Amino acid sequence: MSKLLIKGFWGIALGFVVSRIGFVDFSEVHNMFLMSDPRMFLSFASGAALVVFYFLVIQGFKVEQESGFTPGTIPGSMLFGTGWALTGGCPAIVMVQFSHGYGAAIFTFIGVSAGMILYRFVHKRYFGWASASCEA
Amino acid sequence: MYWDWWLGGLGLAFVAIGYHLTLGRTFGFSGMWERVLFKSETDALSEANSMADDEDVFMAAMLAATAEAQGDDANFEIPEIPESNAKTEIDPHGWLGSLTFVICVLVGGLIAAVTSGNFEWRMDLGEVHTGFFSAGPLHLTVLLLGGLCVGFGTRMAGGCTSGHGLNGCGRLQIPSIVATATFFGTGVAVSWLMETLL
Repeated sequence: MSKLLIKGFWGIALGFVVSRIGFVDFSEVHNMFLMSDPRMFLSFASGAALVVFYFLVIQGFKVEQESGFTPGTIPGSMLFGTGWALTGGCPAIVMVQFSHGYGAAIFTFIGVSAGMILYRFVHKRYFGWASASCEA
Repeated sequence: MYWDWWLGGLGLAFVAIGYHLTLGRTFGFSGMWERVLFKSETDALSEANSMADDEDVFMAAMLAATAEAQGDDANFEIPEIPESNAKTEIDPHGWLGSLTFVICVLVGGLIAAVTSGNFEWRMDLGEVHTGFFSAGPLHLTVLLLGGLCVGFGTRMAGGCTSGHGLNGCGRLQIPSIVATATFFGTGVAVSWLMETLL
């Protein structure tokens, strides 16, 4: 139970932070991709840089590569980038769009869910590789 | 009105590092969304994980599976699989944990929206999006198809902005760095095409 509460806390924190950065605002996302406003990209990059530092410290400045590369990594990322640019929704942002009252996000929500279900089917049926997750 | 870049970076790092320090794992939002959708698979995985955590249960399960595969040739007693102690604690990375996280992201966004006076019920995505796709059926179709690309793409790539981008790049994993460069690069290209063509 306590771990669920901790998990809930980090969920609330993530929703709050990405909202305050402006990821929920389509015009901000569009300007980030057009590189006319580097603010959000810098937030993301500096956040990732701090996480790099954290993992380097706790891992004693050693990096172990896990086998996470699949034939789907690049085409999947291209599909995701396309969808993100069109909808402003990198998955967590779809939830935060609801938080801000963007009712149309229900269409993105249905699309993402359908895409994940479709992928399961297509992967089992047609793709021979073992799936990999970035989570560790 | 939005945070400065450095404050945003601190906020994202606070969540990623805090999550790992307190829960011992990194998070990926699209993975959790998928686990919420596939409840029975997620539950089966949680059960297997909790068995693997408990050595006695794990050994008994292995013996039982071996005996089942060997049939009558097995010359040992098929053990009873003991109740796992780990089962009493809900798996924070299982179905309920993932659902909790997904809903809490919405709650956190709601707190941010209300406290900044940015909550407004509407069916558009703001002026820029309306400028590209108007606010009618085309706009909703774009969201549906774009969402389909996001759902299919993130699972095909094995992660999204949080999993590959923040945590995977944070752990300097090459597939995550390649994935992040690819989805950002594609976002740049598609946004530029939207500017040029629409």
